[in-house]
Amino acid sequence: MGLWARGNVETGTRAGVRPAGRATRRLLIGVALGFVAVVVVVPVLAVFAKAFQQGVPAYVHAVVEREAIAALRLTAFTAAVVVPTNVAFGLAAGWALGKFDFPGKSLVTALIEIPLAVSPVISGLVFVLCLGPRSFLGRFLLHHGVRVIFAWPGIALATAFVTFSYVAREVITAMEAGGRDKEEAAIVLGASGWQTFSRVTLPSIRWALLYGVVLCNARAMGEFGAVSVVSGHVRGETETLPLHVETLYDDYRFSASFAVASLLVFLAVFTLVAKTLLQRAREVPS
Amino acid sequence: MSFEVIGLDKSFGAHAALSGVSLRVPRGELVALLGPSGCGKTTLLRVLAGLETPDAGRVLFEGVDVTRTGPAARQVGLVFQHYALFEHMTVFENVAFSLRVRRAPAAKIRARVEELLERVRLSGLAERLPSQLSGGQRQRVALARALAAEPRVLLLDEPFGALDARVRQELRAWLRNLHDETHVTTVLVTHDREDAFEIADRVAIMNQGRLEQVGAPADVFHDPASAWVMRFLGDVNELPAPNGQDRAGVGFVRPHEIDLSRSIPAAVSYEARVRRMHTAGAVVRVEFDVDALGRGLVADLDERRFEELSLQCGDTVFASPRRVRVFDRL
Repeated sequence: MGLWARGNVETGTRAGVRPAGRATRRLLIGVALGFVAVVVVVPVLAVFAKAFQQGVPAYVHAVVEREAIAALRLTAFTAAVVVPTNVAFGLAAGWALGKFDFPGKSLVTALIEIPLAVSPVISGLVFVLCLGPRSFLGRFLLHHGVRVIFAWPGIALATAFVTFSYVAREVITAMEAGGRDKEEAAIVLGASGWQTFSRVTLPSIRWALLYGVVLCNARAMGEFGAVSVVSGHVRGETETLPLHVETLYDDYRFSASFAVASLLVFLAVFTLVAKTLLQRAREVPS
Repeated sequence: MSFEVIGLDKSFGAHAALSGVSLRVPRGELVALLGPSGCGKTTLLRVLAGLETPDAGRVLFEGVDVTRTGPAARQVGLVFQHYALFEHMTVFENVAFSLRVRRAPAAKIRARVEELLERVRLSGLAERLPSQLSGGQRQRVALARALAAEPRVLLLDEPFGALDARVRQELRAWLRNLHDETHVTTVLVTHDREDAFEIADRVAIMNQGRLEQVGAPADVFHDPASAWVMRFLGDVNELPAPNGQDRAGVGFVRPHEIDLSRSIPAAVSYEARVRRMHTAGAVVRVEFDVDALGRGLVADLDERRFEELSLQCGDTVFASPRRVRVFDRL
């Protein structure tokens, strides 16, 4: 390997690469591409093939039927609640952890990562145990007319928990990387805490924040496990898009199921494009 | 504005960054805090800015105790070592920052910023971003930004540290001129003797959290208060104390304070053998061995003297120190 690399550098052309090197390289690229094809490309193509199996009208029908629209609406609504909540939390946590020292800092950092380590189904289950109809708190809330589990608040809570870390992690990393000099400069120049945050800190982490928002949004819309446990699967009411896909599949409506799934694929593609653009914007700091 | 610090102590864990530091700086003075890295000079600057709270001691601005006053209310200008410019703002907005957060009228901000950019010779670059500037330009933006709200005291942390030698030389002279025009009381932190000696009215030398000596550059250089200061301020030859004097002492002679001659001079002298010679700028540095002392010494001769002696390696000469300073052995 080292020898080949040297030959390559000295001659500056591909002629320096030995035939055996070229073969190895082709093999490795082939393996990588094959893996991507099996794991990513084939399933995505399968989704679209199945979705359009019964023709375009059937596809459109599956996407616009009442329950699908309700699922789409609930998914969008959940994201609209969860993403701003996690942005607010992420900024607060990032500001505190990235710019200040306090006792217990590493504990808080570890706590923020817990949702990434816990299986989503388990986290959903925890909410059912704590806030479900059989729990003390759940009974208390039900008595006062607040239904959490098997209703949208439960779905939002479970989703918020699962996507808790995405914004916070990005923001903390960016805040730490920025150091404290600029905030200190702002304060010495007479800025208040809020002015320092809004005029100096926030603009300097804006790309990282947006990146975190995109990741958080994608995960919030696609979450299945945790939501599945707390939703109760009431059709047209407590089903998000991923749950609706499962329901249709269980009803043997395969084509419709894949049609709805394709919506999630579009969402994923959109996220990927947004993520790539944001990454480029971050590489050119302005 | 005059300021004074009295008996400042500040520790970070087991490390004492400041211990018992007292310093009084009159209005309009430019004082340099000089010392090796880790000596506490930046900590002292941060205490003055209000970014650190001392464990003990007091900070007085014009006689008023500001020890517990936050940085925003102290009206100081601080230039950070790496400038800490706001990268997402233009040069104009960087300089305008302190006026904007005080909600000054737009017309007044424009006038003040333009005046400052003129003064730091960056008028044409107002709409640039900091990332589009050179090191020297960034430094001047940081300075203009610190001066915008008319600070009572200007604090500069290693202002020339990140610049190459030529830019450094220019900025030093320029900064001294600026101070002569504005007369803002200024504290400059540096580890570089030339920075301190060239532009400061007074030099405060720090070592391990303590002030070793405070005085005019010439006084400090010619009358160092301790062996440590003597060594820190320049090359030295160490001699055992002369016979009959304190045996615990050690004598210091600067290389330019040693005369070499071919014949035995009237003054006290050591017989020596020339080992090596090389030109160092305007002087010729001669290294020689003194058998009586069992060690080598160095002398700096000006070129004329060197030519008069026409020394060769291995020649025998007589070295006579013009001035020996004796300090207690550390």
